[in-house]
Amino acid sequence: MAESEPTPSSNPVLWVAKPLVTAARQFGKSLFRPSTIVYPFERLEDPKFRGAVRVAPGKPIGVGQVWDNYRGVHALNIDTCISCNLCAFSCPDLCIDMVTVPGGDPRHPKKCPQIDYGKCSYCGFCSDACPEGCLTMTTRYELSVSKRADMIYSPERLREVFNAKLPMSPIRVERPKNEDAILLDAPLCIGCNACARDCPTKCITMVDLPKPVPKGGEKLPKRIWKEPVVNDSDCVRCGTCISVCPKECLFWGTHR
Amino acid sequence: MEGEELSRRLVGKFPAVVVEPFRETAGRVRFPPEILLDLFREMRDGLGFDHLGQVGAIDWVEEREVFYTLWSDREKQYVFLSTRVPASAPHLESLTPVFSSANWHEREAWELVGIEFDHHPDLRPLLTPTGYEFHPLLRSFQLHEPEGLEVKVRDV
Amino acid sequence: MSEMWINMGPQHPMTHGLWNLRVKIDGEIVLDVDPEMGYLHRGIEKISEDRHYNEIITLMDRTCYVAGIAWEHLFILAAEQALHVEPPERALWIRMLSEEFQRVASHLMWYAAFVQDIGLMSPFLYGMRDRDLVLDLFQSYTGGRLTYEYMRVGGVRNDLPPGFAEQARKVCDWLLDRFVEYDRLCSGSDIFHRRCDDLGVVKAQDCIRLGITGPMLRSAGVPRDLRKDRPYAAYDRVDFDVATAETADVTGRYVVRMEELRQSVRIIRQALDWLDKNPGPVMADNVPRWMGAPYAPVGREGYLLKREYPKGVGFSAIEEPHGEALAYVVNEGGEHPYRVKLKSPVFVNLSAARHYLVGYRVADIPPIMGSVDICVGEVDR
Ligand code: SF4
Ligand code: SF4
Ligand code: SF4
Repeated sequence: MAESEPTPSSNPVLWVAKPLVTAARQFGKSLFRPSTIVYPFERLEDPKFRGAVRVAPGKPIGVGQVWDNYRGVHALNIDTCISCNLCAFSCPDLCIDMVTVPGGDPRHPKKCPQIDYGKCSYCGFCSDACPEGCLTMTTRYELSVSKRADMIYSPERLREVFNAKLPMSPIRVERPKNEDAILLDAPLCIGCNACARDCPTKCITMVDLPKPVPKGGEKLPKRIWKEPVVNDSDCVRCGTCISVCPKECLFWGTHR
Repeated sequence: MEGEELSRRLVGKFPAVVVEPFRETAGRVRFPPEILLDLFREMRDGLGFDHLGQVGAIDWVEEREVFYTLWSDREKQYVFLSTRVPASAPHLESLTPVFSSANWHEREAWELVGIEFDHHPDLRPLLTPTGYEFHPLLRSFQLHEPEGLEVKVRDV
Repeated sequence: MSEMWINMGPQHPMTHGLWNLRVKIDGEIVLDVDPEMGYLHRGIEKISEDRHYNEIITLMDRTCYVAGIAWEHLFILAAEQALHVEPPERALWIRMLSEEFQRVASHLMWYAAFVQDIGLMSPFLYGMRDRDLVLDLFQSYTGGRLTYEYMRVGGVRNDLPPGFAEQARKVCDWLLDRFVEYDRLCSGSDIFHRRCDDLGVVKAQDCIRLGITGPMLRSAGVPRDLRKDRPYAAYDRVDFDVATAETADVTGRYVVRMEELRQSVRIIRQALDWLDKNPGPVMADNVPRWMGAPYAPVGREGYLLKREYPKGVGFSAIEEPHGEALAYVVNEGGEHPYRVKLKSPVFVNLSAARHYLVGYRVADIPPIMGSVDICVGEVDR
């Protein structure tokens, strides 16, 4: 076909010989420097084998050193989880269900995330969203099971991952600075204490309102003379208070 | 080519077009569907926008917008063109006589947004299976399994 | 009747990803082809209409599974325009660095697949092994190896970890050595030239008429590269050359991609130097509320929080490893984009298949299609 080779050589032996020399050099190099490790007996996440893979003499590059950032199976520290729901809300694949775990008080059961790894895309949005840092992603990546039901990790199973003390990603994402805050539509509030009672971070305090003196003929609204005040720096913006308020008087907004 | 020059050179020939500034391109040209072929011929031969980037469509419920992106190697710039057709009769002339690369783009716009390209050489479904009779990118196509949706299987 | 149609695909050693090439042949000669797409159609544009902007990033990674971060970059550029957000400068450089690393990974993947298509087995392993080093680097700062979920509207998720630049420089040095070996194995070999020269020729004029972009267009001698012609991110502040070749055939595409690998390493080194000297924030301050993670769209049932943004449209164009990719994002003020349109370069390059396959032999189809560098995820979206 083509007659315009940049490296013309009429000797067919050379056609084969030249690439073979390169291949032989590669082969020779790889005799002394393995390019792979012997999985599953050696594992990259094991500190012992970090840096074991070298592709050039004296130059351990690539693998190992920064393995911790890997986004694998989640670890959940149930004890510090505040049941704020933020992980479930931020999941784009809707694979997190909040399920009841023992330990809460009977009226307000403690709920922790249960993750369906059949749907999870390992995007890490949930661990970025977790305000307490109790839902983190680990370096565990072996997930193969033979039943679909086994892909669903209950909070207890996620705690086992946590207890295995695998390396976890040290990256923490900062909250945006200009977030909305919880605001109160004061005339609607009846002072029922529902928000303060359910707030997972206990950042709502009910402050006393002075009870106004009714002017002639005017009827006072029927309510408890208290009002919630939200401590913005502790609030994790979980919205629990908004959803429990019976009068819909709490809402997202910006402080003036 | 700045937006003003583009508008000066186009509006003389086609009084019906409107050129407005648009996102680091030479501008967005809004034109009535009737002058499509003439306008694109002028864009290609007269103004040097000879590379068709994309053809896409948006469903604005009452109307459907078809947009085109052209690139000129001479000007090193994009130009964005768009036209609207009524949703009741979404017919538009096919661009394939001027830009043959519009072929697949138009097939895609037809099957996803339901624009009928007249005189298209080969208007077959491209991404959806044969016999699939929905236009998925219409706003009326609900993502969350509408009741009684029955996807027809392909007949080969 | 000596003519017949055969199906190459959807499962065929030649096809990377699921697609079907229908070929009309007379003996060995290809008379007509008809690519059949859609086996990987996941409706990414439709799903995007039902997701928040940052959540769409997870879809962009899956649009093209060998160049995920380039597609993230493309979408984020358009979304930032649509939402009126300015990212900080350091984020721009990190994005550029990521895109160049992605180009290296994608081209190495292409190299591995392509040499296998022309019948060489061991370069496949070399290509894949060296690509893994780049993926390790990706993993070290994004946390993912293929699906990165790294960019956010207004910046990137996190800064580069300490020690990253040192590792990256080592990988760059190593890769430059390797490219020499690659060339010895392929373009230095006469067998390679006998196989690939004058195969799948599309001349410059035809390329432009057919809308072909990327290495295919550059191999025909047209120095068109959006990184130079319409610089985005920080490409106007780095030095690099646009690789071109004159032959417009399979060898030309090989030469262009190999040169692009070297140019990418050159850009990466400059970006690493800049990033060393200029620490700073990687996330903008003016992201719309609710845009940064985490957020909570809560309320009682039927009382979901509505997130609203100022209206806008965004249009972006980047030089993806495969060619010119365009995104058009329409933001009508709601919490989800009204429309996301993605244009994939492979979509167009593939639509011209008839022009570079007809007239060649059946056995030439794998090398030619290999040199086009097909990513079916991108075509079908
Ligand atoms: S990693 Fe992503 S997909 Fe998986 S549970 Fe977390 S948010 Fe959901
Ligand atoms: S975001 Fe964290 S604290 Fe909140 S429910 Fe989830 S795991 Fe618990
Ligand atoms: S959103 Fe409400 S319930 Fe949640 S932490 Fe803030 S004040 Fe407490």
